[in-house]
Amino acid sequence: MSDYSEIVIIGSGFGGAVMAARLGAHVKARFGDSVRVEVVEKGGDHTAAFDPTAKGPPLNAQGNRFRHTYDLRYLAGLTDVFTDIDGAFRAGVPSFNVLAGKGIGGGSNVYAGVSLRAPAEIFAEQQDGRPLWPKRYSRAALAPHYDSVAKTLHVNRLRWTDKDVPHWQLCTKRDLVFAEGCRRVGITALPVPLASENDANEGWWTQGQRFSGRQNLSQNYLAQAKAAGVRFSANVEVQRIEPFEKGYLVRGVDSRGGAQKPFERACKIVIVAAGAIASTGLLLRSRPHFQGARELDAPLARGAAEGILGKRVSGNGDYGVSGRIADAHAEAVESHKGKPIASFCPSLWKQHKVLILPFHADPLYLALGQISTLLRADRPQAAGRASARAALGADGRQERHWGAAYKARLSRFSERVLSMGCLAVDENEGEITLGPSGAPQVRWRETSVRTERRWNAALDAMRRIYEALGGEMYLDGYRKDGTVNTSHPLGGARMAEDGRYGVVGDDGQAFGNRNLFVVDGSVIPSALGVNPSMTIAAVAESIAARLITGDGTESLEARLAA
Amino acid sequence: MSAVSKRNDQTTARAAFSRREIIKIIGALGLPTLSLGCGDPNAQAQPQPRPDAGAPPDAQAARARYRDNVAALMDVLIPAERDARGAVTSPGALEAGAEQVLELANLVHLLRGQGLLPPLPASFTDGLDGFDGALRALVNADLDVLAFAQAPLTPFRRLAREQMERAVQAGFDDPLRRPVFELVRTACFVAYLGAVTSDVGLRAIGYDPFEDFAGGVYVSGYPRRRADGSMDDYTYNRAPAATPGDDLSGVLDADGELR
Repeated sequence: MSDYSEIVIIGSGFGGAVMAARLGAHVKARFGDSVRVEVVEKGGDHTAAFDPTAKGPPLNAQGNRFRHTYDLRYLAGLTDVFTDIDGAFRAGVPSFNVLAGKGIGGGSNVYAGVSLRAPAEIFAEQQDGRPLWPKRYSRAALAPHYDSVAKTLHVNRLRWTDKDVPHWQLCTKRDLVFAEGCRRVGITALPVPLASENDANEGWWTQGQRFSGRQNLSQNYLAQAKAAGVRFSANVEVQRIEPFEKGYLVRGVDSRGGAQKPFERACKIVIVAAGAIASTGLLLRSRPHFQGARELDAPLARGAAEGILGKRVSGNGDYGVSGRIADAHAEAVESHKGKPIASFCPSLWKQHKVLILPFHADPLYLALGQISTLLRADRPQAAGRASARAALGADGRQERHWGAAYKARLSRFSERVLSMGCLAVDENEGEITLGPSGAPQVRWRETSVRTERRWNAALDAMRRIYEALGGEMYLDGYRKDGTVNTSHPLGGARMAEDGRYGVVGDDGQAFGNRNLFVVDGSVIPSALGVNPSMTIAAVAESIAARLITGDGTESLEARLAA
Repeated sequence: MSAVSKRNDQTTARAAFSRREIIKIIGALGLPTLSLGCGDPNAQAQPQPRPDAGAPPDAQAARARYRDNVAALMDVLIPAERDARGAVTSPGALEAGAEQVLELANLVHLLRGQGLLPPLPASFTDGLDGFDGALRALVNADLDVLAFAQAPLTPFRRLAREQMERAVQAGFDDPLRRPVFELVRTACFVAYLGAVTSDVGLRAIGYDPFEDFAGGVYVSGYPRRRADGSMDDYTYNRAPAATPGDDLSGVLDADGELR
C-alpha cells in the first residue's frame, strides 16, 4: 500500500518552491497538520551546506560548508545537462544542450540571480497568428506577483558606485569594461536587479556562496515551506504519474540511504514542477497512463494528429561568446571575481528583441569548448550553422585546442578574456523527446529566420564591442559546432487559453485532468528575452494565489474536501 | 640485426598494415610486448636512456619523468614549463593531477553529465566508463604506433617535443583514435582548471590560492586583505561615461525595468 500525502509537489525550483511555500502556509493555517504537503526532489538536499546553523563539518571562511570546486563528483550533485543524444554534433544536424539545476532549490542552485521582469510585449507574443499567452497574463497582471517575488528573494538593483549603497551592491570590474565597450559602439550598459543581499562580491557564485549572499531558494521560499510543515523527500526521482479514481499515484525510485527502492505515493493533488525538461519528460513517460478524455496532451484528446507535449521549446535565445580585449586596455576584466552577471545592455531591445549581458564564464567550460570556446575566429565566418565547423588559424590549419599556445591563452584568462552573451526572443525551435532509457533528451530544429536575425544583431554588436576594446571575438559554439546552448529552457508543457494549443490552462491545471498541475518553466509559452527565474516564480505566485482564493478556478479547500 | 635492417623491417610492417589494423593487433597480443618502453602502467617514473640524441639535456631530464606514454601525452596537451635545471616554473596537466582525474570512477559518465566531453561516438562512450589499466596499456601502445611515424623504433615518450606534438595531432585527426585523445584532453583540463586534486592550474591563470584545498574551499569574500596588506576589491567603484544619443526612455520604465 502506498503512502499518502494530500498534495505532492515534484521539484523544488522556482515553480515548486513557490507552490510549496504558499500552499504549505495556507494549508497549515486552514487545516493544521491534518493535510500533508510533500515536496519530492530528484537531487540531494544541499541546504545544510548553505546553512551556518546546520550540523556538519566546520564552517569555511565564508560562513558555510559549500565547496568551491569544479570537481565532477561534486558538480554532478548540482546540475544536469540534457542533450541531443541521437543527433548531437553530427555535421548538419542541429544540436541542443540544456544546463539545469538539481537538488533541493532546483535552478536556484546554479542561477546567477538576475531578476529582470519580462517586458509587456512578451505577453502579446504570437505564433501562427494566435496569441501564445492566455489572456490572464500580462505584465500588469503579474506586477503584484513580481513584487512578491522581489521581496521574498531580496532583489536589489546593483549600482556602479557605492555613493548610496553598500559596497557589496556594486557591479564588477568586468561590467565597467563591458560598459566602456558598449559606450564606444553607441549603446548603454546598466546594472541589473539581483536576487542577492550582502553577497560579499564573491566569485564562484554558481559553485558556492555565502548563505546570506546569493538568494538560493533554500533560504527563502523553501525555508517558509519547511516552517509551514511541508515535508521534503530528496533523492527521490519520480518516473511516472498514474491517475486513479480518487487522485494520482506518483511512482519512482527512492535513493535515500544509498540503496534504491521503489517509491510510491498516492495523492489528491499533484503539482509537477521539476523544470522545463524534466517535467516534460515526466509527462511524456506518464502519457500512456492517461487515456481518452484524460489524455495528457490535450490536442490529442481532441483528435489532433499531433500533440503539443514536448514541442516548441524555447532556449530563451541564449547565445554565448567569448573573446579578448586589448592588452593595452587600461582596466583588467578579472572576470572570475565578483557576481556572475551584474550588468546588461538593453539598447537593442526595441529593434531586435535582444539583451546583451557580460558574464562570468568558467575557464574550464571555455577551454573545453562546449558552452563557448577559447579558439579564435582568425578567418571571418558567416553567421549560421552552415558555416565552417572548425576555427582556422592564421596559417589555414585548424587551431589546436591543446598545447603550449592554448595554455598561454588561458594564462591571460583573468585579465583579458571577456565573455558575453545575449538573451533573445527565439521562436521555440527546441523539442523534448524521450530517449531509449526513458530519460528526456532535447533537440533543436532548424533555427528560424527571425531567431537567426536576432542572434546576428546581437553577435554583430558583441563583435563590435570586442573590437572597440581593441580585441576580438572568438568563434562561438553555435558557429563552430552548430550547438545551441541554454540554461534557460522554457516550454514543453505550455499553457494556453484552450486545450487546442496547450497542455495546461491559465491556472496551471492540465486540460482534462482535475488536480494535476504543472507549474514551472515548462508552462511558459514563449521566450521571455530576460532571465526567466522571476517570471517563473511570478507565474507560480499567480497560480498559487488563484488556488487559495478560488479566483477563476476551483479553490484548494474544495479540491481537498472533494 | 643491424639498426638499419630493423628500420627496414619496421617500414615493411607499416606498409603491410594500416594503423587501425596495428591497433587491433596490439590489443590481441596483449600490448606490452609490442610497446617499446611504454612500461607498466603502474610503475613509478624511472629515468630511461634516450635514443633521440641532439635534444638538450634538460629535455632529456624532463622526458625521463614520464611514467609512461599517457603521462607524456598529458604533458603535451597541457605542458609544464621548466627552467634550465628542470624545475617546474609553470605547472601543466601532470602537476595539476590529470592522472588522478583520469582514474576517477564513472569518469565518462561524469564528464557527459556536465557537458564537458566533446562529441564522441556512442559506441565509445557507452562502452567505456573509466580509464582502467587495460585501456591505459592500449593507449600506451598506440602512442608508440603513432610515434613510429615520427621516428621509427622510438617510443612516444622519448620523441622530441615537436615530434610528440605531430604524433598527438595525428591522433586527434584520426577518427578512430580521436575519442581517446578527447577523453584524455578533457581529463587534463578538468584537472588543470577544475581544482579536483590541486589548484595549481587555476592559480596559473590568475585565481587566488584555495584557503583549504582538502575542503575544496576557495578564498573569497570581500573585502579580503592581500599579502601586502592592501584590500582586494572586485569592483572599480566608478560609473561609466554616458553614451551620447542612446535614449533608453522608450525601453525602460521609471524603475529601470524593461517596459
